[in-house]
Amino acid sequence: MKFKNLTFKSMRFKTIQSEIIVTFVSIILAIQLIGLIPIGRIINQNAYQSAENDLKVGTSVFNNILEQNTANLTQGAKILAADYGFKSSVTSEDSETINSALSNHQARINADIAIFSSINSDHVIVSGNLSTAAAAKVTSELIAKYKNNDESLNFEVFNMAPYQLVAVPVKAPLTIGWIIMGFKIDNVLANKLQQLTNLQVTFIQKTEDNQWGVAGTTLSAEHAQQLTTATAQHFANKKLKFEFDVDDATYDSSAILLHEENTAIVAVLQQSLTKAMANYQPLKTSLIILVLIGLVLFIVATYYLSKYISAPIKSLSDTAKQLELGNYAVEVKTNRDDEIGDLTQSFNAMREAIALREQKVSRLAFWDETTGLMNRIAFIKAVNDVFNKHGNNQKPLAVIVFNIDRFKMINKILGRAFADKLLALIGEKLSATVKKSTDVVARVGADEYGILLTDTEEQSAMRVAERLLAIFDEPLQVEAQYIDVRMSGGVALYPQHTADVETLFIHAETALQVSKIKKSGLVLYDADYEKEIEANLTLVTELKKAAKDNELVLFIQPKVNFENQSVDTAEALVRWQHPTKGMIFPDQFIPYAEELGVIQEITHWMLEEACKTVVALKAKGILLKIAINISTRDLIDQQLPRIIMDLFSQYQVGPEAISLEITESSIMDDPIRSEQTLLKLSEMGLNIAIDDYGTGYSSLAYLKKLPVQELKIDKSFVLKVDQNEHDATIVRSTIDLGHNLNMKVVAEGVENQASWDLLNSMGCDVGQGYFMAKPMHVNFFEDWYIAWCESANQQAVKHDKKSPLTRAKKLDLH
Amino acid sequence: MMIKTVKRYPYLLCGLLFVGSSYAFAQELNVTVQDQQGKPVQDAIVYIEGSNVKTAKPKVEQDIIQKGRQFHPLVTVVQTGTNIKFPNQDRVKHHVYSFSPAKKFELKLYSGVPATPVIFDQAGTVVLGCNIHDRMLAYVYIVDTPLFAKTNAQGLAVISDLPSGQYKVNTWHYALKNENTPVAQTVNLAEKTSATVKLDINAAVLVIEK
Repeated sequence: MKFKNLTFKSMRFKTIQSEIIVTFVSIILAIQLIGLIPIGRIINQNAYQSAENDLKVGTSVFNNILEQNTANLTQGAKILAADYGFKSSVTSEDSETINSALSNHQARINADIAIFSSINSDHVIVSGNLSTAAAAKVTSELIAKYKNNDESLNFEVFNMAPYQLVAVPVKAPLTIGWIIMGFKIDNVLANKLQQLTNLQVTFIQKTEDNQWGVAGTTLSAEHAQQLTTATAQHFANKKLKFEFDVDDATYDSSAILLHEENTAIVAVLQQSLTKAMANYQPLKTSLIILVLIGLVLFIVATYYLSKYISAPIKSLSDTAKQLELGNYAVEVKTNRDDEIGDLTQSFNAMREAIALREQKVSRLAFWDETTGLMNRIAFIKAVNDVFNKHGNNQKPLAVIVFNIDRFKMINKILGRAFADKLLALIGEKLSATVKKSTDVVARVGADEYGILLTDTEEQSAMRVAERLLAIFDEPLQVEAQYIDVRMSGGVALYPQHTADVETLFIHAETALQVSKIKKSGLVLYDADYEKEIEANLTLVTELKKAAKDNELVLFIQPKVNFENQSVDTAEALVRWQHPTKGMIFPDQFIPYAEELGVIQEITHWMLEEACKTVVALKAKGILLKIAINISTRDLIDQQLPRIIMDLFSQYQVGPEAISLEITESSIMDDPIRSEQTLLKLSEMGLNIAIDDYGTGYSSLAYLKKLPVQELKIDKSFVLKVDQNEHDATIVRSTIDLGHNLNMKVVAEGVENQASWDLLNSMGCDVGQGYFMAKPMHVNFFEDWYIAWCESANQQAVKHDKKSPLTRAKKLDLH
Repeated sequence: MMIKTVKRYPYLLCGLLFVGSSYAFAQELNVTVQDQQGKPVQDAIVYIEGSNVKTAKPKVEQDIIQKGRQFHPLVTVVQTGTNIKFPNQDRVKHHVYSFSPAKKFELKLYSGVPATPVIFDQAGTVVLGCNIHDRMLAYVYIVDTPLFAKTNAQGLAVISDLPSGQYKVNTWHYALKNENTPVAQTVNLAEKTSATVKLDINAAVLVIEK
């Protein structure tokens, strides 16, 4: 808008509404004012005109009255002049009679003065307050005028006082003298004229010595005096129309020159302009009121119009601000079909689109797509929110972290899609089990769930945790497939363990870590764990050194053939002779070593020690093959076959010296590379056994593809095989399975004669356990071996198959 | 239309110097009266005074009638001691008066002819008026000589039966500017029998008769 630019270039409006209001109200105000100016002028003109008219009419009336006066005077004088008796008195020069006649007629018409003058003015008789001498001069002048037929209004100043005069000849029948009659010009006359003309009337006279004075007036003496001064000035300038200001009034004034010779008489007629204006005041007032009412109505109308225009814009602006703050719920309502309506609809569409996108983004940021649970960030935020919400009145909280054991394996073996479904199912189950609506279940890691329990003491928290863990007592069904899932859990409590939210979660994870290492299912956080873990970390560092410093000690546990009770293989186990802590069992450092990547050094150490031992035993005539446990990391390490080769050539041994034991899970972490390694090792002629069989998820079909010659049944099935039918069934079928696959089957954890006999009857190939021998220092193996062989030989002679137990007990040397 | 001359105030008549020489021959004197412009002046009174003028008895009576609310004639010239009657020929009454010093009188409201005439026994000018009708006006000029005449419409006045000789001829008119002073002229009849007199006339005072 060009107009707007021009007008309001320098103005900056905060709102469209004020812009509209100011613009339109300014315009209407300008129009009103522009309208008022000519109206005001017309009113003033009218007032002036009216005053002027009043003055004109008044002047006319004034003149008429004066003429009337003259007529009255003339009439009165004529009556006297025509009186025969008076004429007679004149001709007889009877002064007293003349004077009395004059008085008489003067009184009849209320004239102020009556004079008789002889034709030559040598004989003058005056009735009234005037000396003959003063009268004589004026009468002769007056008579002279009348002689010249100048019979207009006549005013003369007698003895400082002005009079309106007439002169009438006394005829008998020729003129024998003059009668002069007059009214005095004074306040009385002025007042009378005011009543008739409705004007202010002031008579001003100039005396012979040029002094101006008031003869009669309707004004106050003071105003009249000022008017006289003003009139004298205007008179000198020949100005007969003028405005006269006095006090708070202005008078439109018109001066009438009644007489001017040596003396002068001026009548000033005045109409108050102020009064004339005052007549228009109600009109002006109502005009202004109308303008104001109009203005107010206009402002109100403009206000609502501008509001109508700007309100939706403001509403959009407010909503935009809300959007900025992330509030997408505010819908801008509109029922308008105009551009603003379009804009509002577009805006709403945009808002919804943004909200949707934001929702997606925030879902990605805070929600786990797979499980539909919160993710780690959201979970920590949720914990924080609960804290912030309750402030100082914080009730006790618990954070539980669950981790799925060996999830990587599930993922690898069963596929990602399956694993995802499993994750979702676990999420559902956890969510369903958690009762309180304020409790939160989240997926805080690839295989980890976080659970926030609000308002929960230690006991109840543990109860819930147990209940959650109990879910996994039964196999879970995913797509018609049952899967046994084990969980580890860590629990941390507020305020018991920490007053800090962040730390609470970390503590729960610490507890989980402990649970993982100890494989103890559910662990409640304990401040000691921090030290323990710290200690374990130190231990790992020390462990690296231990391999070099020969602090490690090789133990071996013999494997006994069921068939002839011969021993040709032993499993290598490592113990740590800690310089300060004494003997440390593998359970206490192997998991950490695996976890923290020190296991390879230990494996290498064991391989070398095994070689040394085999070589040493061989020198004594004992042929023993030592089985080494190979961890996941070792399998992934492509260097392992080369290292073994190097050892073989170094100690002049072959694959008869060493065999390898791997767990199912160790293959599953990276099956391709593991298979490659295994294949190489197998090609080297190494015997490979599957350790802890039955705890993993590997299918036999898969195992079949692997270059494995031996299957070791996990001791958990074997320990009570003599008492537990179920275990016995599993063991038996496993043995059959292994044999069907042409594998040698080894039972670990044989602890009594009954188990030994049962396994033997099942056709198990090899047994390993306390019943035969505990793991022993390599140095003691020789003695044990000799003792065992002797016993075996005797037994063989006696055919007493129970003897190994007793012997073993005797030979427990460690 | 006739011109009627009007005069305001009665005046003392000026003496007229008369030088009589050839009285034996009766002659006629024609005096033509003119105004400033040379126009003839009607109703001017021409009279001759002097020691050589023989006194004669005045005419016994004169009439000044009132008709149509006017006096007729406008100007009357009479010898001292003449009676004048004022017959009223109008149907309205008149109240004839004079405040002139030469003869003050009044004839109160009357119709017809008053019983007694008014005697004008003093030389001078008498202005007649009517108290009822202000406009009515007439002049009576009273002279102490039988030798007088009044100009006609042609401004000519003829005085007959004059013995030859030298006379002082006075001329008066009611509208004279110097109203009370007749104009005097000396005429020797032996040399001429006619004369022309010029008068300073105040035209404003002239009465126009219907």
